[in-house]
Amino acid sequence: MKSVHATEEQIQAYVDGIIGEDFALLSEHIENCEQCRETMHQYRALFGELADDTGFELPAGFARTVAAQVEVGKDGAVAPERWSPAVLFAILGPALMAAITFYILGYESLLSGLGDFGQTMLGNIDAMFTGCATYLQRLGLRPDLFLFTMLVLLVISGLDRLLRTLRHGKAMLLA
Amino acid sequence: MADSHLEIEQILAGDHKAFEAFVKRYQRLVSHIVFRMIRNDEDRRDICQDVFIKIHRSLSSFRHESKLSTWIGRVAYNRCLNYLEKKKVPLYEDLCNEGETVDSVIGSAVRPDEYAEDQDRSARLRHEIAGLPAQFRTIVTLYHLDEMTYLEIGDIMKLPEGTVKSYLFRARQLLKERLLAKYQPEEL
Ligand SMILES: [Zn+2]
Repeated sequence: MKSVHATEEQIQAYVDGIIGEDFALLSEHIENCEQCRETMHQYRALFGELADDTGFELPAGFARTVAAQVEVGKDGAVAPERWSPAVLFAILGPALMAAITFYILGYESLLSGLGDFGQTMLGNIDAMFTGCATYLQRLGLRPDLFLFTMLVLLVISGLDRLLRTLRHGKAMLLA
Repeated sequence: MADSHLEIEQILAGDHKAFEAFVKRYQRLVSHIVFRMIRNDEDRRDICQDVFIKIHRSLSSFRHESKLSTWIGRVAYNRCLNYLEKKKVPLYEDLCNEGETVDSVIGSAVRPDEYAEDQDRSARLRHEIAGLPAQFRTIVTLYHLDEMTYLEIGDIMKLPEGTVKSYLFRARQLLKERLLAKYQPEEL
């Protein structure tokens, strides 16, 4: 047994202090064999150096900076994503548009529109087009039109931001 | 060490100071992984920051099924993989399949030969570590600096325990040989 040198793997395990079944034999050989002892010392020195914790320095105040960043995120992009302005516009915008349309067209046309619901699809689409035409006619150049255009723009930008937020969120999940 | 359940609850409740303490405690581990995986000095700090922001965001999903440090390590490691993928930096793992190819991979690993001869031993060692494949560097560091087990390292890097063990062995043997081959003759 003494003539067979320990393998590199055995010597590494020995220095690591991982004790296997053959530990007694291994230990006896390493302590008595100059060549294996030399390898053992080389590994011991290497492992000692590998435990040197330099070269990983983060800037001073790193933790504080990160914690502050998260704090900022709280009012912006992190948890309240669901209720960001983008989402509010995306939900409230169409609702407001519907309300204004409803107001301009009046209750009667809406109710008659509901009555038409039983008719064929074509009939409904036709009614929709007629409704839109009437609607546009009635709007003319009134301030409502301005408000309406503003709302459309807001809804578009809201949806755009919503999509971006969602895409960003997905990217973060994948990260 | 503070009770991790309690600490996580405090952080989730919005305790700013608790999170700062948490970052302080784990920034060493995160920097070990990020600095070993990413060579670009400018990006390292940003990635470390990203990792903690991501951890803060997903802390509520931590189920205490694994050790907190392992979970944090996994977030950091995955973030690095994601970065390397975006930068199209190849991971050596992809190139080798089984044990024998590991050797050929190591043989072909980048080994810059320029070095200042008067550098001290620890600088030489850092230079040699830098020449190892990213996963080897990370395993060596997690084992020797963070005192993690093969199992914990495997959990972070999604590698079987046996692979971690063999990579660690190859990496250390290689470091020893390179340090000896390069520097011993001058020292004699
Ligand atoms: Zn021997």
